[in-house]
Amino acid sequence: MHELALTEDLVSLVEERTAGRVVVRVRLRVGRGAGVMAEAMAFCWDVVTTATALEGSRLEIEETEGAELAVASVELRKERAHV
Amino acid sequence: MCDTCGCGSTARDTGEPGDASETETLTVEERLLAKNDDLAAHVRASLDARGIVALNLMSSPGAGKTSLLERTIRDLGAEICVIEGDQETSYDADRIRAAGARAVQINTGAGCHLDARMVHDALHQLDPPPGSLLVVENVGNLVCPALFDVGEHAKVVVVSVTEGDDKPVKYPHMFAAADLVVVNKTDLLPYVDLDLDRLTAQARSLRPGVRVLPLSVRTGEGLDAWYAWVASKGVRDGAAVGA
Repeated sequence: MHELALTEDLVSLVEERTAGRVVVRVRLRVGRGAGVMAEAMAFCWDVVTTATALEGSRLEIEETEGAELAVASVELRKERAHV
Repeated sequence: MCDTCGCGSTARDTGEPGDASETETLTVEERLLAKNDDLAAHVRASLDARGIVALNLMSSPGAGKTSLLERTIRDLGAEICVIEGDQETSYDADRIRAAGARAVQINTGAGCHLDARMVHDALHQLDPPPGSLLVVENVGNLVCPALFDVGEHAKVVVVSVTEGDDKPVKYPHMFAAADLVVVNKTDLLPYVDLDLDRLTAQARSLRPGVRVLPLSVRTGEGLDAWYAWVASKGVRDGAAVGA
């Protein structure tokens, strides 16, 4: 179950890149040759994101050819401008 | 249909859509394993600077990784240091120390593999001397350890004759990553149906030209070839000759 460890790494990576912003969605690309079960990462998403800045966010996994395992983009809630 | 496992939902989507007008997209485009691989490169560079050769030894549980190391430590006389990975116990590190080498045990708990961070931290404790051979004995598992670079110079996969000759294609990631395939327990060949040619062909279909080295830790058959291979990586009796 290296998917659990990889999902934890994914959450840390996104937390670092988004610095406290509210994360709505994370888009991940998983190659068929990456040696990673996309279902297993999706399965543990809610548990791994609990009590993190990503809690309540959604994980979208695009399965691709090849062996990549990469974070494509993150969707953040817009910050309201101060009046 | 099924609320908990998500089997009824659309492809690998964990649900709860957001309102698009309220969100903005941040492009990340970063490999998930980048942090591990960066740290592994750092480990490798530190080892290179001290003339230390590192092997990542992987197999299913019970293939004979620790036995191979015990015998190697006793036979080779080179300075060998070992990082042991298991979910629980320090049995293997105890065995390595009893054989006469330095060892640090990592217990991964629920974890199924070692990663670069674990090996990096263990190295601070182990402090292998310059010119030594470092062996990272990974958690017994033919799946997960294949994915994680731990800073080694070569990956060695051990398979024993009782496991059958179809393991390479059943566990393709592991065998595709192998720089050497050791086939252990050849003393048991008369009692099992293993076809060594089939195993070799399968391993080479995944890693073209990979060396397959049959040996028996118990009888010593084939060990000279193993020691010659280790020496070819830059380590020989009592002294390293540089990576």
